[in-house]
Amino acid sequence: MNISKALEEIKRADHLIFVSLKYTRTVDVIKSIIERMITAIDCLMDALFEHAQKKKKIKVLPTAPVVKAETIKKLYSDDVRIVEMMDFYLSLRKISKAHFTKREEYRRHVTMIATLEEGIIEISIDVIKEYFEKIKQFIEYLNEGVLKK
Amino acid sequence: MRKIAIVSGKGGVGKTLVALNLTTALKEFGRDVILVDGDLRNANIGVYLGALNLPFTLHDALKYKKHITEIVYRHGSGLKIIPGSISFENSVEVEPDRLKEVIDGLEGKCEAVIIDSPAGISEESLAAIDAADELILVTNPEMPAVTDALKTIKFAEAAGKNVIGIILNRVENQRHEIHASHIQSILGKPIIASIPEDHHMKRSAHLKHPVVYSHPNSHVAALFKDLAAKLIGQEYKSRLTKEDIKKVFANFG
Repeated sequence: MNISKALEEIKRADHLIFVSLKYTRTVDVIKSIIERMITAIDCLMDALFEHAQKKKKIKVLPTAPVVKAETIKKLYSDDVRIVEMMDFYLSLRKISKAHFTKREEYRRHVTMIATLEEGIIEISIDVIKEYFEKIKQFIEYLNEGVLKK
Repeated sequence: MRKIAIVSGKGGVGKTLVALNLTTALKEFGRDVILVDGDLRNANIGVYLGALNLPFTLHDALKYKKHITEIVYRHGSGLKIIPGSISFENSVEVEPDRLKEVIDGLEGKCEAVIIDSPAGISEESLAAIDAADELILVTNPEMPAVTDALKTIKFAEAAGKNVIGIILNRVENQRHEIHASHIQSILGKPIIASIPEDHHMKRSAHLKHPVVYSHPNSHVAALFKDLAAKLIGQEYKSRLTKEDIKKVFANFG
């Protein structure tokens, strides 16, 4: 159920990348893609919690997003991909809340420049596509591996 | 936001289970309620619910590491809790002074907060009483528990808190027990619920669930729902009255 919600979100992100961003080339679209990605990972976290509950690994679930990610890191500490995805989720959340500026809007190299405590992150069309692929592969990984166990 | 502390004069009267089940019953009535483990030295709500290894607890909020809204957890029963830390270090190091300020951080996030307080009159129990506006006192029908309860009431009233009433817990209706009317006159507060010793409570504790969730049709679950309904001023009919039974049979001519 949660996996299908994640897939729906990722489909929306797909449309935003390959249609909206392709034709508008604006940072606002990059920002909405990041929001979609965060929601998709949120759904994946719920799927992981459901799985952990079935395995009787956890009885109470956190409600705050950051604590959810930290809890999943603890629950699946032996799975590097899950731990990495949680760190990625936390940095996406930081990016979405960070102050940002725009570079080369309406051009092929449109870039969102987010200022984080850790430093500056530049998100171009190529970077956002990389993020998108990463999440898509992670969904496959969960669907065909972890959640089937 | 209503802030109700569940207190007792003596330990071991069943305060935590009352707090757990009352909160669950309030949730059953559709209320957005959060149960806070205010027993900072002996936090055990997590233990009762089978949640021992939580990344952040109320102790982190007291130490400024997290905001209280970040440490709300949801149990399988739908119950929202803010657990305390069960670690020895945290229990020893805790500074209860900030409890009120931390709990006030939930303002606007829920309709009511139920605070499971420590027993007796200690620095921690005073902090829990201070954090609440209303109190419910839990006692057993035995003289040591009742005399200690009286002290807690006196203290709470001196602090200007409204004591809603008494919950008599683990009532067995044995001859050695003090009668409810005597307890009421000793404590000078109304008895708002009388919960019997019930095997469903033990079973639910074993299942790590509140009895209201694991055994919703049990007599004891109905009593907690009755109590919750009283607190929110809602009508609740837990059992068929004689009039209801007459109506049912009237249909058969």
